[in-house]
Amino acid sequence: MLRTIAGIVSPLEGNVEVCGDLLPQKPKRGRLGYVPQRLGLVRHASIMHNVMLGANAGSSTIFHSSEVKKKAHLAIERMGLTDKILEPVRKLSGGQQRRVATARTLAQEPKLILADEFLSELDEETMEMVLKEVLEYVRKSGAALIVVEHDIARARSMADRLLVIDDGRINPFIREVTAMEIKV
Amino acid sequence: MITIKNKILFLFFGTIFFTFWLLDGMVNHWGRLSGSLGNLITFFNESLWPPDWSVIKPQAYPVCTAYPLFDFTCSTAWIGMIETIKIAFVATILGSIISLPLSMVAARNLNSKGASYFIRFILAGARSLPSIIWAIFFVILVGFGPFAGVLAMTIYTVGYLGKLQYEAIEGMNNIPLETARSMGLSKFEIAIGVVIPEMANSLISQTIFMFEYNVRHGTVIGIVGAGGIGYYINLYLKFLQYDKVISYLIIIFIVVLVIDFISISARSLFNEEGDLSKPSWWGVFGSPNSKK
Repeated sequence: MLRTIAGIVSPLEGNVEVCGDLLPQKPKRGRLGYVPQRLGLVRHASIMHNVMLGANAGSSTIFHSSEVKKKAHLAIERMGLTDKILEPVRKLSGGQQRRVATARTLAQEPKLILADEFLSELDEETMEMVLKEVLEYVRKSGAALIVVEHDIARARSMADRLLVIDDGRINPFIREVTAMEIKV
Repeated sequence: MITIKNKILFLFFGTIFFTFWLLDGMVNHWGRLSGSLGNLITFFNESLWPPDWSVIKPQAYPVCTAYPLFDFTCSTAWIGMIETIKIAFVATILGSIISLPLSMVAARNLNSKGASYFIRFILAGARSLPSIIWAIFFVILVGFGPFAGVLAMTIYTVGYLGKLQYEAIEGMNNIPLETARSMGLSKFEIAIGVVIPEMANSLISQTIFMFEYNVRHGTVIGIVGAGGIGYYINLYLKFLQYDKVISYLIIIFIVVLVIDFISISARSLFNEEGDLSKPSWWGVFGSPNSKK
């Protein structure tokens, strides 16, 4: 579902409208931030390089201005990775890599964030910190956040609206559910 | 009923039989091979061995001004070999600079079919002729000397390295590309910011391999007058001085082994984890990844 909204795969039927634009269309620069389950990081490059990709997508020029660098630094600081800023991503743990992907999206300052299991592999304390930062960005910027999450309790704690995908279809009823009811 | 095992056996023996049938057609008369080993031994004893090592002595003209210990630097073998290495180096660097942007366009995961096939066609054209044929063209175009060799090997490098590069790029993980596209980054930004850093190890390793390849092949382009040690080999072949030719061949063999070893060592710096695993001399003869 997220890959369809991100414009990576075409819908089998029907239309997808993202921020007023009908897909398929070339995604507008910096408008959509995506944290895929497998992160999509440039593994051989540093944290700074990866986050700069996001910050750069959020700016209108392809040249790195000081403003863009500042945004990248701030996002890295929010994710608590300042001390590893020049470390290659492949040398980081799974949880740290997830925080880099989140920092990349925060630096981009998108209008819509698509996040697939962006809190997995994180310890309780880090998870709360990452969630707080992301929700704070969403609140301040008015951006929308679509999260795919297997942990129902966690999903309920962060979501205004909850869609349950059951056997490949969206269950239209927003209701109390338990993890046992979810097949997909 | 024909089992799979019988089918494989039939295919195997059928292929062997077909190969020998083709070979038989090419040999014509097997009896003429009866004295070939004797001929080779006579040729080896009377013309090739012992090698004439005067090729590493200074030339009579121009007068050698080097320190006596280093007077071998005035020899034809040294001058020719160094020129071959210079040609290979310049051609590899120029070739890789040209091939990288072309391979970005040729990679199907980065560009449309039309653009990709157009560039692939150019790359295939560049490598369809061996560098020695390109050298003949460029000797006609710019005259004898190493510059013709550089141009010939650059064209071949673009074709060969370009193919290695676009195949490596097509094999890269698709998720960073998809993510960058969904963020709205341009093709140029994706190439510079995602593809090159992600594939850097592989691209550098391929360039070093290409240098090694060009040194090996640079030895023959001199035969058509495009500079390097091949010029001297061709010269002595014409005068039937095979004992000097074998000296050059031994020198080429040693230099190629040394460059192979340096190449393996350099490429091991750019493996997946970026850690140096100490290569062995045996790696020169076997797989570059073989460990002791």
